[in-house]
Amino acid sequence: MYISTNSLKKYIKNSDKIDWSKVWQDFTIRSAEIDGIEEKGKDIQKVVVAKIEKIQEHNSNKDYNVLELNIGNDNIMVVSTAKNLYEGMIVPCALENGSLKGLDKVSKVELGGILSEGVLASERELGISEKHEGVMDLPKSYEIGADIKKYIPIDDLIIEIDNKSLTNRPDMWGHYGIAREVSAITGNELLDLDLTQEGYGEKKLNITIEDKQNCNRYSGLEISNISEKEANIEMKTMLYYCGMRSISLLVDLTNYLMLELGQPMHAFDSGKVKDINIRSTKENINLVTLDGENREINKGTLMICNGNTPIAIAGIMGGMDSEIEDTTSSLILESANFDATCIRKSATALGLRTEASTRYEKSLDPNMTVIAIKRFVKLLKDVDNNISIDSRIEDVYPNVVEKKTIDLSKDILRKYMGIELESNLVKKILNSLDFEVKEEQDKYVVTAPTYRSTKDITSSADIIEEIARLYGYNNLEEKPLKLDLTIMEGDNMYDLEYIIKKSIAKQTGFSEVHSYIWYQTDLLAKYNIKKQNNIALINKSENNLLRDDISLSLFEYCLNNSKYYNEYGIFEIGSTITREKEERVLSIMSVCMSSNLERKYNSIKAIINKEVATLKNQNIEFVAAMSNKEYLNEEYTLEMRVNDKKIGYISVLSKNLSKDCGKKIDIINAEVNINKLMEVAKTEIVYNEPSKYPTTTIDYTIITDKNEDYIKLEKLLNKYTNKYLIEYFIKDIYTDDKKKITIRYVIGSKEKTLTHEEISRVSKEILSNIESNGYKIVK
Amino acid sequence: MEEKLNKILEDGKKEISNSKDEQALLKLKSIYIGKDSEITKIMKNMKELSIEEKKIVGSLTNKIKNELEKCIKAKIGELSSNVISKKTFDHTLPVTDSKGSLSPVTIVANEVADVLKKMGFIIVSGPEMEDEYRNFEALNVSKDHPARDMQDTYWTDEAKVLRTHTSPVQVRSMEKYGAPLRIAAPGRCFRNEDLDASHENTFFQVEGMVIDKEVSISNLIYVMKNILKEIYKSDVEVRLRPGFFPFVEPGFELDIKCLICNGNGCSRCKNSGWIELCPCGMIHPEVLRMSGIDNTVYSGFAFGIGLTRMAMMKYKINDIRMLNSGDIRSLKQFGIE
Repeated sequence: MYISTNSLKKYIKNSDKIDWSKVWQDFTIRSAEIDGIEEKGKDIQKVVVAKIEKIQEHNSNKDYNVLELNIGNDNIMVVSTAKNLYEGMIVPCALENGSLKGLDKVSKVELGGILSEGVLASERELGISEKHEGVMDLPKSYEIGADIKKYIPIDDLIIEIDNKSLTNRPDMWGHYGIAREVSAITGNELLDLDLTQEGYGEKKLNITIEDKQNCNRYSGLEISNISEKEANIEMKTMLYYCGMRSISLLVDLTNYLMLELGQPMHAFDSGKVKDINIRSTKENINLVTLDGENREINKGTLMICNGNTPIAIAGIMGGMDSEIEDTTSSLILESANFDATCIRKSATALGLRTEASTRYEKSLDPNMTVIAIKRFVKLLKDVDNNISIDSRIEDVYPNVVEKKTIDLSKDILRKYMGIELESNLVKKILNSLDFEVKEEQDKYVVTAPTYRSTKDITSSADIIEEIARLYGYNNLEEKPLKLDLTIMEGDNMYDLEYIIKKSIAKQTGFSEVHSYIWYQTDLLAKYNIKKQNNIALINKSENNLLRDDISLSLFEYCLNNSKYYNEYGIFEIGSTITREKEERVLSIMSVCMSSNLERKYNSIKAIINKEVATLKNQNIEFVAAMSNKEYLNEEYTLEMRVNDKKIGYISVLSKNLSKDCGKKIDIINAEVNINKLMEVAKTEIVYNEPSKYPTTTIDYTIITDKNEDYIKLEKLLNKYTNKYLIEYFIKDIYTDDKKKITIRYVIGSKEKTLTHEEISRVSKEILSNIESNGYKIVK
Repeated sequence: MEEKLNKILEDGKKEISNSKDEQALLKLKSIYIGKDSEITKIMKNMKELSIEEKKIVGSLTNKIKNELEKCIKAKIGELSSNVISKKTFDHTLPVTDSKGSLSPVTIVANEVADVLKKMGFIIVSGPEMEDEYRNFEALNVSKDHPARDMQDTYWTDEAKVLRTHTSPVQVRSMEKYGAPLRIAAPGRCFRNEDLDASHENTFFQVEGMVIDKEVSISNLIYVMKNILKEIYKSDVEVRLRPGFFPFVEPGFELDIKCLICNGNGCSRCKNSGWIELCPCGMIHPEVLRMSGIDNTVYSGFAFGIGLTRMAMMKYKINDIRMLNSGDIRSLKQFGIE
């Protein structure tokens, strides 16, 4: 929102004593954020009021007029191409070394043998509107030779306030509200608005509010005999500086009132409107709005109707049919208050946010409607004193907003501020904002004005904010927190995830990625992966299925990365979501040349095992298992278990997928469910003293089929236990037409040195366990 | 005889020292001192010699045999040590392993979490899909607040939301731990936005919350300043200005003096000299009440820091979409710490 400092000054006493370039810093930290400050009029210099004394044709160029101009103390010659000139016309003229918008320096130039000593200006060249058809025709009353800025407020400081920071301040959506804040900040008194209190007519207007829930108040006034058609230049300049366009006297006045008070107003042609009825439409309708658009309006939208005929969308935009035209001399003025949510929803549904709807959305004060009408009349009379006010101010006010009264405990105020504030200071601050304060023993009874009672002030914390911000957050002392030394246990999830991520990145050299929580729908379709019961987002048109499988998201990234790299890896710890639960899952994708598959697979397997072994002091059990993911190669799938609980898997993607990353490429995929891992208790380390007695090692080389997975043999070997068998491990694997696996057994006891007989009994049992199950031993 | 023996010693020594490998040595060993060697023959035939001769030849043969054995052993040692020190591979190839990388957001989040832990905050997590109550209602976001609209929030077919901020973790923590409380919650959030260089629908925040007796705005300012000082490793100048968030009152926007232009105005701070960094405020009494904390006894403050934006500032990333691109050409630059 743009604010004209010139306009603000009118509402503040001794406004010249305020440093207007500095006050906005205070305003930013006390009231609302300033997006920018623009100094207007700097580029308009040495422009004077001049009178065209004589117009002559140029003797060599038909497009040129040669003008003799009276600039007060002198007469000068100016050559101009403008078409709207006449003798006796009063015009703005930029003199030598002066400047205009788009013309940095005026100098004397010779045009076809005649020295032109100045440049005449249009409104656009003065920077006060977009109008540039011809030179500005100034009133005859302007003193010839005077600086144009004496009559037109070209110099101004325009402040852009961040609308977002006014979301909760309905009272600050107009200049008067901003002036009230400036007055509270600077201590300069806020002046009352000039209103027309008397001279209203007797006529009653027919106004009915059918939808009382959504229309809080509707005030109207009928005025006729309006003959003036244009607003004065001062008002027009202000409108332009504040981002609006001058249209006609009546439209400009309603816009000006909105900029001044924040109260949107609408003028209907009174010839076209008889019975005003505010109600919600019972069916979908169409209405041509005054911007010429034919709009479809949903059932339930709040409308202003003439009898039964909708003529305006309440709080958003008027209709074309009832619009005031240039010929309109009588009108019905609407100054109303609508429910904020109702207007926001209508505006959103229509895709039409206007200056009016933006303001109504903030919960405006209904008590402004009548004030705005009285102010409108005052401003209209200033321009056109012959108007006739035909009706009384018709006012239907079903939902009266009262001032809110709130108790503020002195102790809570002290607690929040961290200091004790003098009660006089508290009262002074609140009074400056128009809050009434009654002091009692241990509390203040604070009454907020109605324009703060619609939304923003609801509790004592809101009153504290008012006091604290005007006291100045920068004036508060910084105080360290007193530490409560109670030790608290967090859920550790963040730490666990970070430790794992860091370690995986370090050990694998892979890159962490962040993928979206929804599936790429076309990826699922491409690989014919069916997702039946996933949660869907209802307001996202594509890619709206929440993922229950993070690895698919990572595969999508592989498709892209494989354009640039042969071998690489990515990983993520992210959420997977199903109808039953949300879980945190680590997924790793290791993309490699098929020739390196065995080495890479084993390295990922080892890294994950090392990770779990580090965190939990126990090894993962890798078990051959079926996976429920159709895109994995079952032959390579191993389930990871700790304490018999599944915590993840490692596998290789089926060629159907990995082929799209390259011809001789394979992709290893591993997942660890972080929630399940977290549930695994860490095994305590109990120190186990090494045996003092000698141990014996025995090697057996077992022959298996070349293609048999070791896991089958391992199962068998694990079956045999004996208190003298300390451990066994693979010593060597040699493959020719058979696989020959050498297992080393370590046999011993903590209590004694084993006898030859004891050792040979154990070794015989081991041997028979192997041989009785059909395996042969290399003798 | 003596001459003969000395000749054997001389020849043996020469051949041993000239031999090239272990196999050759073993052969020499059998020729010179093996079963069929000259020396063994001489020793076998000793009994045919006189006592006098026996004495001389006996000691000489023994001496020669010992010496040759020694030579062979030494030569074997020499040869095997040569084998080990012999170069078998090219040790000058460049290192090819990549160093691995974490997301810049993870790196920044960890820096912030470390600072908060030092200040006594515990780190907690919450789900990315939240119920409406904890994402909105319990945070004092009214039923008709625009944030609840479809154009701002992702709603699921079960009427849940993808959390729009990490603040629901505040609610979960108050429910779980009660007061006093000092928590921080980093996490991922979602808003219904169209993507461009500076807008993402998926981004990271960290949320902090302190609840205790006698917590004041002065404490908030102190804590925030110190957090930022630690994070930015310099004395940053901060200012608070009014900001509106339903779950805090008073609510603030915390700005830091622009670190690039030092407050003089530049393109990064849009010529204002300040950068909006972190919304914060005193926890709204209603928020405390709804989560079962006695707001007449306890007060507190909360703050949120945009981790995604912080990472962008730190690494001068000018297109936010890179962070969720999964493109390792970009991501692998970031390292681990």
